[in-house]
Amino acid sequence: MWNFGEDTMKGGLGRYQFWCGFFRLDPDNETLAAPPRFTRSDTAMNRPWSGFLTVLLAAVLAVTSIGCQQQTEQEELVIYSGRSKALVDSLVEMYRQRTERPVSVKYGTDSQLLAALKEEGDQSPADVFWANTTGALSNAIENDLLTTLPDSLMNRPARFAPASKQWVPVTTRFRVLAYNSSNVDSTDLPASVTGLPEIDELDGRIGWTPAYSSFQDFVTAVRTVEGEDAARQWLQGMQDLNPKSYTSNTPMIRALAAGEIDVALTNHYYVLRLKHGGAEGEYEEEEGEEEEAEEEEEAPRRGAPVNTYHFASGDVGNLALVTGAGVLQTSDQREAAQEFLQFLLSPDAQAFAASSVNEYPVVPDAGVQNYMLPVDDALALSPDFNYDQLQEIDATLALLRDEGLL
Amino acid sequence: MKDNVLSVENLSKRFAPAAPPVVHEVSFDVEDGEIFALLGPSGCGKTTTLRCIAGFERATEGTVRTRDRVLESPDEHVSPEERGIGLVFQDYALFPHLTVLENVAFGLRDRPPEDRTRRAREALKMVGLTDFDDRKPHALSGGQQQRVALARTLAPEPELILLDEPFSNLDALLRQGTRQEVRALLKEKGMSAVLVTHDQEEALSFADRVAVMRGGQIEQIGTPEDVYYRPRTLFVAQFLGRTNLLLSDAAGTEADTAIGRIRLDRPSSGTVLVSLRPEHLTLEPPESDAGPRGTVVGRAFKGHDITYRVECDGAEYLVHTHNRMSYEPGDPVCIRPQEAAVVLESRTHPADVPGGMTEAAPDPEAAAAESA
Amino acid sequence: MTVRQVLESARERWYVAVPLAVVTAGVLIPLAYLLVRALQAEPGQLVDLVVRWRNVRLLGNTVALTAGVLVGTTLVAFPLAWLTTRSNLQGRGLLTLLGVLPLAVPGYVMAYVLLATTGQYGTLAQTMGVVLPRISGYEGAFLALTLGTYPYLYLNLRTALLGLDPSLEESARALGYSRWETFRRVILPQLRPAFLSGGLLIGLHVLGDFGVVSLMRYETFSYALYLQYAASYDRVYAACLALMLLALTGAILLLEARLLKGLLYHRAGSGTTRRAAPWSLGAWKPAGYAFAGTVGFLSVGLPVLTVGYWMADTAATGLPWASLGRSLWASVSASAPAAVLAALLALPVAYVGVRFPSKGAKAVERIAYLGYATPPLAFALALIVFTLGALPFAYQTLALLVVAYALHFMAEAVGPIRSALYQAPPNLEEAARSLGRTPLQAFWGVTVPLLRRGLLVSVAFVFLSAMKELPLTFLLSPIGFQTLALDAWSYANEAMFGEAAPFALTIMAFSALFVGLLLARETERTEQPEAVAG
Repeated sequence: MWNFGEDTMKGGLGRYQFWCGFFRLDPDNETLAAPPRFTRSDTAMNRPWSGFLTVLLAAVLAVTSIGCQQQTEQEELVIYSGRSKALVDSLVEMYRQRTERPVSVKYGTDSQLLAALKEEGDQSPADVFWANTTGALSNAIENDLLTTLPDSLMNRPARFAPASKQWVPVTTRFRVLAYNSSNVDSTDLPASVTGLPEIDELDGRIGWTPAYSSFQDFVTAVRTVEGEDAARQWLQGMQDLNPKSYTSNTPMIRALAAGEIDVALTNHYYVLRLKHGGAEGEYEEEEGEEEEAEEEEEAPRRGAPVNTYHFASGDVGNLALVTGAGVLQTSDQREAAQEFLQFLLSPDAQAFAASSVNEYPVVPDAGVQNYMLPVDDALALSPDFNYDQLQEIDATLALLRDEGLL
Repeated sequence: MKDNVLSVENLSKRFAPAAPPVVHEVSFDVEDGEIFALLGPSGCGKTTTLRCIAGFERATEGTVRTRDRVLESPDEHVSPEERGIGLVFQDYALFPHLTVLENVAFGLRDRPPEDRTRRAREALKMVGLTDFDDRKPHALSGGQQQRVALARTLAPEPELILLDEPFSNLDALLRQGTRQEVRALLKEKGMSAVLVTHDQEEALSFADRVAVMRGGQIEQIGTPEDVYYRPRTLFVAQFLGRTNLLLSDAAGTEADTAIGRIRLDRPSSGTVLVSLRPEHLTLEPPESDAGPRGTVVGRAFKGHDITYRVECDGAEYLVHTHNRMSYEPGDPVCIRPQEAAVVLESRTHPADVPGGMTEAAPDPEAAAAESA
Repeated sequence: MTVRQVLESARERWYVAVPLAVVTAGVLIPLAYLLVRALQAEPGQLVDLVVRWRNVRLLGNTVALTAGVLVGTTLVAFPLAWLTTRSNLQGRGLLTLLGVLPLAVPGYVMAYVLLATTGQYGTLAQTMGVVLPRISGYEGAFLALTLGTYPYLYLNLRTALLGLDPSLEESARALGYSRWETFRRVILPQLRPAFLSGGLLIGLHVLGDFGVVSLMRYETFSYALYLQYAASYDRVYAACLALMLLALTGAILLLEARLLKGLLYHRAGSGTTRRAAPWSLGAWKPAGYAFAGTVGFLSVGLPVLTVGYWMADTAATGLPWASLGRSLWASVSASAPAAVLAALLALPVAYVGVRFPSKGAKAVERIAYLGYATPPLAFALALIVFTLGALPFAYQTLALLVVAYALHFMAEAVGPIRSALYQAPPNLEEAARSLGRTPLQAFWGVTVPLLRRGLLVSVAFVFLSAMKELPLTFLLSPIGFQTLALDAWSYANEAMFGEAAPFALTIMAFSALFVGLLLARETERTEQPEAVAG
């Protein structure tokens, strides 16, 4: 009855057959469906109870039958996305409409999906891995999960394309220092993130996210640009200021808005989202205005006034964090997968990313929201170094563990 | 081999390989239409025997048969539902979620629905319980619940029913009446039954034959009269009712005792223990005989008869007499047996046994404590 | 019993033996997986990672939080249970519902809500001008977990209080004990099993919680475990941490077993005992209302109001009805069958534990709890490896997700069924068999109907948990399968609270509706015999 071939594993059909069979094969079910004959007698014996069972059974069967509906005829493109639904859902919908190719997405965090990909091995149904961090993509390369992409794809991004050619950048974000402008004067803030430990007034008022991947990428960059010892000294100097550790940026930025801390090492879009809301904004084809984010005058809707501080151009504190996607070795439709990546780099898709989640495009001809930095200015912020070096995450983790941060 | 409705052979049960047997080599037959009682104090193994017959316990050794069908043997185990044996529980075990009628119809599911309801109503009528069909068990009195339990067991018309202390949860007044009704019902239907009880009066009045059990073994099987008047062992003599025990010096069918020379039910010699039920003794004025004299020390008038306690040679004896024989405490009397005394098998060393009367032990706890 | 007899009875009661085997395998597979992964660690690195001062600190934090939450839930649940069963407060039915509803609030939502409420710029400060210090760390985790888990204890205590035989109290009073002494020496000891089984679930929940502790910045074992998976993509070290967490769970299970020894009895009587007369609260009545009201407001009202407040903005631009409907259906289609399956699996586990109380039976029951305590992420990864190896066609099917939910949450289902079983006399099944029923027929026809109430509560528990579940859903769901919890979490994680709010509210509303229906059914049924008996 079962076809164990690879095709059915990937397509919907094989799975759903199993699901159909699942409850039918269960011998217990027979009794469920047909309670002892006695209970169905004319004297209405025990009807409420069998009624209850029937309702439950009906629920189970209803679900089963839905599951049994054959999902699709055509081979669908399966995307494992570490990026959240807020961005991916709309883009995938856009893609579906254009190509009429069935696409389905499995969401998770980068690490969950990587763990799943590793455990799935060559039985993975996934075609595309779309990650939040270069760290995750590098790890995927290390584990030999990705395929090499054609130059036609690799040439599209203006910057950040990796030498390995196994993934393409899709968007980029920047490390920034978010601060409460009623408690901190931006002129008191240092030109380089390496100067931050010297601002003693910030004792107990700093927030950071040592366990979060973008922070770890940043530490890796510090190690690469400034050297191992400098990175260790910086971590120690920071710890002397008794920073508060958050698991992720969202609670940290809310803590900043709530006045719990006054400065926070974070990513640029968290500040923008706090101030300008989330994905509901429609993309408007307006050319970037000259207004700089840090000079934003608009009063925050609730909470403390939170603003963005960029360190001096080229400082490692402004590190660009690149998100990207690659085609998996297990994919049996690599062309379609590459076509999808091509779509992600199309101006429309790029512009949508900018408008919906406030991230910067990686292709030169896409627009951004008017409250964001113009693309060229933003790209100039980040230091220039070999981004492949961000792969060396293990040494960073060892350093963080050494310093008691993990 | 006789095709008895139930035949138990050398049944033994241990709960663990190293543990002493709870039931030890028990054998008995139940004939068609017979009511058989297993009587004994609690912990004697009677309920375990019953559960082996019903199929809820696996026998360690021995066989259980019905007709020519083996139900239980070391290699065979017919599951309870396939044995066709009815069972009435001490606490009735009525299904609380079902009505009275549904409870009674529970064992009839192989029949068509109309038939099922009709049969269940008949069974309820049989036990004299109509108009309660739609009640739930907890809305009934104890006596009514007992009848429902009985009707439920009788409804599928099993050849054999097992009754596990079915009357013990009823109050004394109700108990006697119910007992007689149930017995009449079983007899009318020609059903065979095995009753388990610790109440000797219940066993004697309800059963056609009684097996007295002790320590996992059957001590004696016989008709109620047999086991009552002709107990084989001290335990049976004591457990079935009050009796007078006498150490006697036997020679042939006669023996010398503290109350004089008496007749024995069978030839014997040497020192033996004999039992004389109080109603087999009578009192006579001292001048009529030269035998040993006693003194009346207590008198209990019970209407139709009188029970005297008589001291004779340092021991006390119980004597039941009709109510026209009147003595007062302090009167000198002679104790005269009216029947031959029963010679008991000397299981227990005679020296341990005090002479004189002993009480039956209706309280199983006390009996157990005594035998321990 | 000899081996042969064990096998024989297993064959006769296959309907018990088979689910038990499934449960045992389902729990042991993840354990085996973790062991295999942990053994892949390089010894030197492993020692470095495991023997660390930080782990001692994590252990201390974990134990402190667990103990704190146990005390906290007791302080909330016990008075509430007492007020709703034994006092003369009006509206006890409504209060009872309040005691269950917090289970519908996902832990991370509760944590976000508490964080958003307090502090200089919190909603409390904005709307009422009251500035409370921003709650976080131990206090925050303690408060969020206490408010979110006390129902487990509350429901256990409530059942136990309702089942108490008032004549025991009356005889104690007649023997010259005061009310307080009676309470301390007669009532409390009888409540111990309820305390233990409720406390066990809460303890295990706290041990495994990640959402709350991470948002509240309080480092426990499960927090460190999650960081290992998340930060370093490291399955090996995470497996070691998971095993350490499981060892801690094992210790708790042993402790509970020891405390529970000899405490469970079959209740005598048919369960139609009379109810104790309610205690009149007199002048304390307002205090009773205030207490119940505060608990209800903090655990249910506050999350609903706050999430509603977040939603106000999005609501103006229109709610995403289509995706709400789709996700709701996805959530229900996984949670409802899982709840039923979990109850069906828990049934034999509880049955064996109560009816055949042997060491083996106890072991199986403990194993069910171990499944509950296995970190869901590890559980999911193990199931991926197992299904791809053994049942590749089942991978990423709804069936697998349902089975995973059921195995993981089964421990929640065991307790209610177990207490119901203690009230179903064992000889009913024997009576059914002597009337010609097979063991299975006797079990289904007689025992199962008597467990209705327990089964309903079990189904409700598992349903509520499954509706909120995240890590298993992430990894095991069919591709493209989006539950309400996934939606709420992914928006909230991106700081898009307005977008997350409709999904979070739908989880809470639908769970409340479901539980309300189940409980309404339950009370309807239980009132009936009482009316007859009274």
